[in-house]
Amino acid sequence: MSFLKQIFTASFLKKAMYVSLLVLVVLNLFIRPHEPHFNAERFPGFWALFGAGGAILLAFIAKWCAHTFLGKDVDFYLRKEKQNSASLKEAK
Amino acid sequence: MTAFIHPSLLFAFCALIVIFLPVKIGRWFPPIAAALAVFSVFKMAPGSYATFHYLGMTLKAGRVDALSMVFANVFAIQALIGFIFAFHIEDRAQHVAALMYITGAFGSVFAADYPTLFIFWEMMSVSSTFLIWLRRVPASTKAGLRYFLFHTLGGLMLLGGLLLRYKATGSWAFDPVAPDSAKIYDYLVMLGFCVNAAVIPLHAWLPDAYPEATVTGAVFMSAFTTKTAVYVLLRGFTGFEVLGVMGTLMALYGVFYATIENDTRRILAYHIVSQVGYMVAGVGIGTAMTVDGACAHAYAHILYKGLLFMSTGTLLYAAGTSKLTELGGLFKRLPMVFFWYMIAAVSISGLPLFSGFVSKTMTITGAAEAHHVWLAIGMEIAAVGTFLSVGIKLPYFAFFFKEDSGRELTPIPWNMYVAMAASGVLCFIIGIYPNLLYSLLPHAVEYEPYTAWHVLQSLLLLGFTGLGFYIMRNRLKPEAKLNLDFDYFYRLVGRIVLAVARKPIEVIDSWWSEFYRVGGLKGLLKIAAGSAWFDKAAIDGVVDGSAYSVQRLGRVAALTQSGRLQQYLSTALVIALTIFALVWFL
Repeated sequence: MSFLKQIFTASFLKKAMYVSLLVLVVLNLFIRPHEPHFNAERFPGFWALFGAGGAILLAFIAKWCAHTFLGKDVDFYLRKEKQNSASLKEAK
Repeated sequence: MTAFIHPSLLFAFCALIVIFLPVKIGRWFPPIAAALAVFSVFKMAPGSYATFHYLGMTLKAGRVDALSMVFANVFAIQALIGFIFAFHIEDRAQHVAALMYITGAFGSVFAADYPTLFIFWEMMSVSSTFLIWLRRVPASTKAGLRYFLFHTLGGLMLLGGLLLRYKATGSWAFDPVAPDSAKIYDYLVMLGFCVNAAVIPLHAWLPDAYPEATVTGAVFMSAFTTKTAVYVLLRGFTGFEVLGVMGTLMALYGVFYATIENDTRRILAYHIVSQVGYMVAGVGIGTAMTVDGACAHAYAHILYKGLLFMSTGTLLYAAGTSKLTELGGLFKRLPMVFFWYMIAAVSISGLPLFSGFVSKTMTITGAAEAHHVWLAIGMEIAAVGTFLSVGIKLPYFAFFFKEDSGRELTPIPWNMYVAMAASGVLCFIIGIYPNLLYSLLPHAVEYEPYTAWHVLQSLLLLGFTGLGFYIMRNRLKPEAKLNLDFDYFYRLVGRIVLAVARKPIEVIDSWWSEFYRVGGLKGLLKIAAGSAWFDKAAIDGVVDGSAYSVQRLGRVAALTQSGRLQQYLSTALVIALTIFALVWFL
């Protein structure tokens, strides 16, 4: 196991990731869509951009929404319920 | 000779057995019933079986054709896996609820008329509510009630639609509706189906309730409710363009929320919305290829989503929490859970060699070939989001990220591992032998997933999504927050009803009570007193007895005048029912 750990260090894994991504893009120069469904698909590396761009945009937009108006405290609904039952008791 | 044994019969009968046996013995029966169901489904031949005549209706509970057989096939397999996963449970009620739930699912799939469908549909809704309640914690009690209320709403839309439909057409038959001749009642039925298919904005019951269900209940529910709904949509409403658009929106909406959620099972619940979106879009686009894609995706989805819920359920079972912020670093102690989770995660993400790849690309290619390029692009973005949140974020923060907190882990029963392994192997087999799945599909479309381009495109998409995660990993850190969804509005409706009940209705009620206290009760007493006086003064001694009777009647009448509106209503109801019964029988 320690032998494996020596090889698979974080920096090695990072390099391996970059290299394999690069290989994929290079392959895209030769392997082209058989029936492109829209024009942008013809450009080599389109789906690479689409994947990375999509992930970054999604993370950015979703987290922005969560931080501005969607995210509430975990007991958000519980507190509402308590308010309700308190006002019910008051009415009685 | 081909005999048709309705799988619902097997499960319902099994439920009856399990009720009366000690649970240690009874728990052996559900897997046996499921194995028999698998056998009966594989033995089935197309045809129309189990026809009954009841109250002047012709009910057909056994429509077996290519479409119902695909769903029955995977339902039976998943039922078997689910019951193996739930084998260790020593709570009889959970087994019975799951059995009745699956009875409902099979009944809905084979039903050829609306009354039969409705009965089984409601059976599913009631028994799945119990799968939530039986976790027996306050949060699940509340979530179960909300779940049940919302499904009742969906059921009522279905009921309203099918009754109006009968009035207009005189037919109970559950047959395809042509999009250009659809009437308002058809849309009502469709809305009822859309509730169960979790079409936005009718979806919020799903991420609200599933994470609160029992560990095993969530495994069952992830497979049957939404996929039965996809089946009935496929059966009745293919080619409705609105479904194509809504489905794609669902696919995007689900991954959006999954990106920001913290609870592992809630992330997966949002991914049901997303994945069912692909199927609903396939139904809506309605070409042979997208319909096949929807069926194939439902088949693959049931297996890998079951596995996802099993592995995260196992995490919850072992660690006692399903929150990403509380998990982390568990890889070393639960490597096999991680392994099976990742099999399911790469399947849902559509990595080549796994089941999602052969079904998802079929739907997307079908959409593009039907000239719905925007829908296809939407589904590709959803595919990015799927890999981002289920494929990388969830496992990274649950199994790695920080040092193991050293929390005590409950030992995991062997049967859970067996069930996970069975699912994982199936995900892989479908991925490498897609024709096993394609040969079941209703239209038998020619589609070859393993072309160099399809494989490269998927790898590019997923690989660079990984890069995107790596860049954004700090921003994607889970937070212990609650994210508002449409259930905010559902709850708002509840609060409005409560307010209406409290203000105007309470005012009327108290006014009514007051009126009786002052007017009614006193008046009656006065009349009683008056008649007593009249009796004494005028006909004393002549009809002495009658005076007493009137006095007594007065007292009895006074007793019934409690001034409570609900009592008056119930008394009126009882009297009305009695009169109705007399009229009916005499």
